[in-house]
Amino acid sequence: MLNFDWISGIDLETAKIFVLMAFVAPLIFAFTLKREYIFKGAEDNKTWRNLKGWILLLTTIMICVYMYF
Amino acid sequence: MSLIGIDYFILLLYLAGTIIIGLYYEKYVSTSSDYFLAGKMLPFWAIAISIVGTDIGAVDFVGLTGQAYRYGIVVANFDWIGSVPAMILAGLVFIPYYWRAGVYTIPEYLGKRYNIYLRAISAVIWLIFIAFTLGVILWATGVLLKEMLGWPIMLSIILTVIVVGLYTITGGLSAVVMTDVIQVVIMIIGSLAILVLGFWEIGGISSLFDKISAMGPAYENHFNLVVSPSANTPYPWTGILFGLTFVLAPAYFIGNQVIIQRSLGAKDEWNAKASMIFGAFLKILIPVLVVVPGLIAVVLFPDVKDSDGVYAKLIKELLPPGLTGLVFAAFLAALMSSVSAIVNSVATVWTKDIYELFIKKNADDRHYLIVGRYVTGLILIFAVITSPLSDQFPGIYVYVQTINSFIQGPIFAVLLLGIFSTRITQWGGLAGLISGIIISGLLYMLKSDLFTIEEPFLYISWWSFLGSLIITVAVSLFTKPEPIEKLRGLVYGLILKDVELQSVLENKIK
Repeated sequence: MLNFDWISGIDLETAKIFVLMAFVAPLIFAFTLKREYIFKGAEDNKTWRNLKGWILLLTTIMICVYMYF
Repeated sequence: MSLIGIDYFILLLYLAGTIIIGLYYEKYVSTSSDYFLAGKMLPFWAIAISIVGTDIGAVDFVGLTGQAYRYGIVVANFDWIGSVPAMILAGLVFIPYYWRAGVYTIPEYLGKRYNIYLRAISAVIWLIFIAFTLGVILWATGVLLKEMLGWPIMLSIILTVIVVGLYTITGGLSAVVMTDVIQVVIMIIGSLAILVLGFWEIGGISSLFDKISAMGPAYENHFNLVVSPSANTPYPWTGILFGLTFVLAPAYFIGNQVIIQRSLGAKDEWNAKASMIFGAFLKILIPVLVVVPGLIAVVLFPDVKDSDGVYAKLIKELLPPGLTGLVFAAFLAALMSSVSAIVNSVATVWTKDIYELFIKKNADDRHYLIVGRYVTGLILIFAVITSPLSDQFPGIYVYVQTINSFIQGPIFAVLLLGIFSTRITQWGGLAGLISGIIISGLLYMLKSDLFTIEEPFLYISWWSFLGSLIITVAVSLFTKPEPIEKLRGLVYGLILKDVELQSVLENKIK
């Protein structure tokens, strides 16, 4: 139980899906946030300041790396 | 290994440059807010670079490269899945609330959200842990420099403390962050030198894959980020996901004062949020700089017995004079960025959460600024005095890290519930924190009976987090809910729904 014996038997491909979800979940969360929350405090609303775009790029890089390795 | 004239020149240039830049920021310090939070003027990019510089210590260069040599790229999980999701969560949810609450420290936030007891307990535990960690870090790096260069251990320690003390005592957080920027640039250049020359030596990236893959079954997991619990590794995917990704990483990026303090000094809320997200981009690069050299070493020196020695071997075999000096400058930079960040955070927690709260209330701001400077100096002296303890008690580094893993899970549980639920009460939080620490201790004491792997700190973090979470919720449900007035600006979701609250917060920030 404490050693996660109940889950350690699953194959590595399925395990990788769980791991990828750790990147997908914050991405989905970021896209549920309102635009005014993301830009709050920003000097202007230029596209490059949209943190959703940053997070999309960040998680895409990570998902590609984890899918490859 | 020895340095020659050009190497010493580069080292001296680095040290002089660091001191000059650090001292320059003294003129911007006239209040305690300037000293502890850089006057809330920091841009996101400087904070992000500083967070990464603080996170990577000199010992990590040697340790991570050695672990990569032994276990492969699975070690990169600490900077990828063990950082990126947590930093996104910190940037989008926690940092904006800390920043809006106008707090200086995490214990101060806990005090506002819960009560003074939780603030005091978390501050004292953190101060004790971090004060001893500082001595351990200094000693460990001194030992490495002695092994590599033959420098006396205390010489490296005292040199570091004098340089760090000069700019941290005078310039506060601004000096710490801006010197971190220089230090990280030097760290990257020094590490790139090893990487480029290493690839040149082995014949490129494809050669790295081909040669390690051909080395037999002992290396079959060297290019796997997700490793089965049945493999001979301390980093099975179950521990990485449940212990690291779900608990230790968020606890580190959300509840660690050393990391958070920089974002609290951001010039506005957007810069505070962006600092963490941009920091995550930089974290992606770290394994390229410290893990890949470990893989290169597998090809170049396949028979090294002590994996912690491969980094020194890479420097010795690959680097020409001049670049060796640059890599050692990077080494000192990594040490100094960690030490200065810790010292500045200790001074902040001591002054705001202990001194101002229990020893001298309502003194003028200048008084707290002076106290902060004295404490910064005193903690450095304390670190020098306690650093030889590591020699007398060889297992102290592992011991300190183990103690750290005891408190990370419970602190994260209390922070998570506190920021996401209005129903969590002060007594629930207090019970959850104390019981979580007790659960960690019990699991550690019974580890040989309960766990199948030798060092189950990832699993202990998860179970203590879960225990703390359940107890916090259970006790909260049996105690009186907190008045909504107390929770204003401290719980996620309250702000945007409440126009009156939004204006109160904006006035507070102004």
